[in-house]
Amino acid sequence: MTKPLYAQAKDNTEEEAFADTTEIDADIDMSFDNASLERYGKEHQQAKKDKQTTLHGFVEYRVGLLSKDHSQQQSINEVRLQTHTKYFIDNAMFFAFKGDLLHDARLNKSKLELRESYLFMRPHPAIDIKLGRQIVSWGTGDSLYFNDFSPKSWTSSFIGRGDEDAKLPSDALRINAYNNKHHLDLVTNLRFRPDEIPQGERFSGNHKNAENKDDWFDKMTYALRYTYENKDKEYSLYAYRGYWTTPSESVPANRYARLNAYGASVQGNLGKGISNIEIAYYDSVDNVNNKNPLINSSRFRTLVGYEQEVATNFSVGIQALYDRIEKQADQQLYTLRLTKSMLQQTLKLSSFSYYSPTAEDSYTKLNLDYRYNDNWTLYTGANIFSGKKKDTFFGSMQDNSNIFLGLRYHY
Amino acid sequence: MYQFIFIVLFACLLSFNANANEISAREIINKGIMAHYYAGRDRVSVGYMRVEDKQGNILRERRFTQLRYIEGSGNRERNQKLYVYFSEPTDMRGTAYLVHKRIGGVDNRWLRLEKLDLIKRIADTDKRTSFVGTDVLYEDISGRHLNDDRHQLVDETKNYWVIKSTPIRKTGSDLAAYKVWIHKKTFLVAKRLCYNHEGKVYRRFKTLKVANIKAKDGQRFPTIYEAIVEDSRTGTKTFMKSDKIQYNVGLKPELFSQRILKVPPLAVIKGFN
Repeated sequence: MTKPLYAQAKDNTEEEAFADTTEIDADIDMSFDNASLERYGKEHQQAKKDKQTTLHGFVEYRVGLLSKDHSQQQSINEVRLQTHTKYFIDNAMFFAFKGDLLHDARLNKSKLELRESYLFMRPHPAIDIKLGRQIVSWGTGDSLYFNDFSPKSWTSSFIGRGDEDAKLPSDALRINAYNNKHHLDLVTNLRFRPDEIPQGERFSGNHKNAENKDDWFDKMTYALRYTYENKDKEYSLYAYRGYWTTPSESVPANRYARLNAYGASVQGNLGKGISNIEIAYYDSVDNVNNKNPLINSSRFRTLVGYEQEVATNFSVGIQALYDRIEKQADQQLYTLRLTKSMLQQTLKLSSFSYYSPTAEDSYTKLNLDYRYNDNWTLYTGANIFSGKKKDTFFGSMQDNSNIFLGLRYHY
Repeated sequence: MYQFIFIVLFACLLSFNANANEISAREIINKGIMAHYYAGRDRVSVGYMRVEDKQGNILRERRFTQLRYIEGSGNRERNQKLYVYFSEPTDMRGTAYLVHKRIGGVDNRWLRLEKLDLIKRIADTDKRTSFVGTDVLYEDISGRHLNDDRHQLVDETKNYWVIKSTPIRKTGSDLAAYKVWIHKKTFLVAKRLCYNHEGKVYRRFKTLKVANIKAKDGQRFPTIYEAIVEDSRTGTKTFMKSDKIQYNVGLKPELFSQRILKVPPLAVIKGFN
């Protein structure tokens, strides 16, 4: 027989490499007799006994500072305790709970935030029902929401809260029906909740409708999605009947104008990466013939995106958005995401930028997440705004660029 | 075209090899792949991984449920569907991966982020990168393809075939070659050493415990259920253990669709509550 290769590796010291032993260590028992199965069985029993705790969550502190001089320099200063659990009523029904206890030292208030509190039921093998407070997400965009009218919190993003805070929960009845490759998802929002947008109390600038925080309206909205899974692509159709999730300047009664929307998307592998195309038509029902400049106009929206790992542990994602707005100038927006993970994925660096050549504004989010161990994670980063005009979405935030630091303990 | 010529040459080379030895290195590796990655039609197991530093301090722990479904039949690599649901650590709880592994094509991969109710299709990544922060590589989970390497029988002992494999395609990774000890009776890997471009071992995998697990239909599948992998570059080692391994429980391929990402199998989430 041929001599083993790399025999010289034996000379290596333990520090720089492992010894290249040609013999198998004697302690590997490859006999596969009944004893091996018995031993496995015993360990299996032991594993069964290991009881899992049911309560999980984290405690977190986040603090942030605005870059420019303000009467109040802090952008964020809060402590959050989150707890979540699931309780099974029977094999096809459970209750999920997730709640936050928040002390906001910046705005000097404490509150309880219920993020999830829903009942899950599977009345039929092909039907799932979720009733109660829950987070709803769909669509193919990365931090761009075309056909997803569930509430978002731009404020959370702008002050450097966790990723999960970018979405706000809805009070909804959600019915999912499945038939092999077909999937129907119907969300009835029992109360309409708009997006949370930056307000004067925390930021300076030209903020319209600064009083929309924690608003819920006793109005139902409906969202429907149908998805067809092909071999390596997903095709979706969307429909929405409800309200604009951002306020219009003049609808004094409810501040939110009615909106019907229809959309479609396709997502799948393209070359070495993932690409997506999503379109949506927004019908601004309250703005008859789009003559009212104070209400958002109807529009046709197009999004194209591509994401790929360009080097080991380094990926790049780009998106282009084009809005064709009735009786107004068209809008364009581009995004760029760069993500690099290091040190066995314990350190993650990322940057996400929005840039609009038409609104002449931009927003860049820089993040560094370091998982010291399974319990402790450190978050730090910056939110950088710029703009030529003060009345654009990101431009209005240009005096509010900030840096933040957070520490989270998971239990 | 070059690829085609290469394959033909490679095939000739292989047939030559096959004549030279009773069983070719390629055949042994293929049987090894079959024994570990293609045992049974489906498989359910609970995985545990523990990353330790040199002093033996525990740095990270992972617990997950793994479901696997293998398409078709035969003794060759075939398309597979894999699902991994994490229950520990806390910040990964509810995170799940779905992979439709395609032989000779690009894999389809999805990620579920429970916190955001988000299902994200993810791009194919370098398979020789860390699996959820451990010394285990994605490739160890999904398996290296037979055609990724040139295989050469370098030694034979009473119980083991020793094979040296060299990657055919040069990549940026440290892997220049690896040597594997394959158990003659079961074709399971007892040990694997990875060599860098200087010919030094930088990574080693060692099987610790095996069992001949009986499937529901009475078939038996020799299975590695404890192993350790060490990496000299990170200076850490990862201990792996599989519990509750079950073969041929009757998983349906339809299970591995968007739905499993939307709502994890209820028995799986219930098991961790």
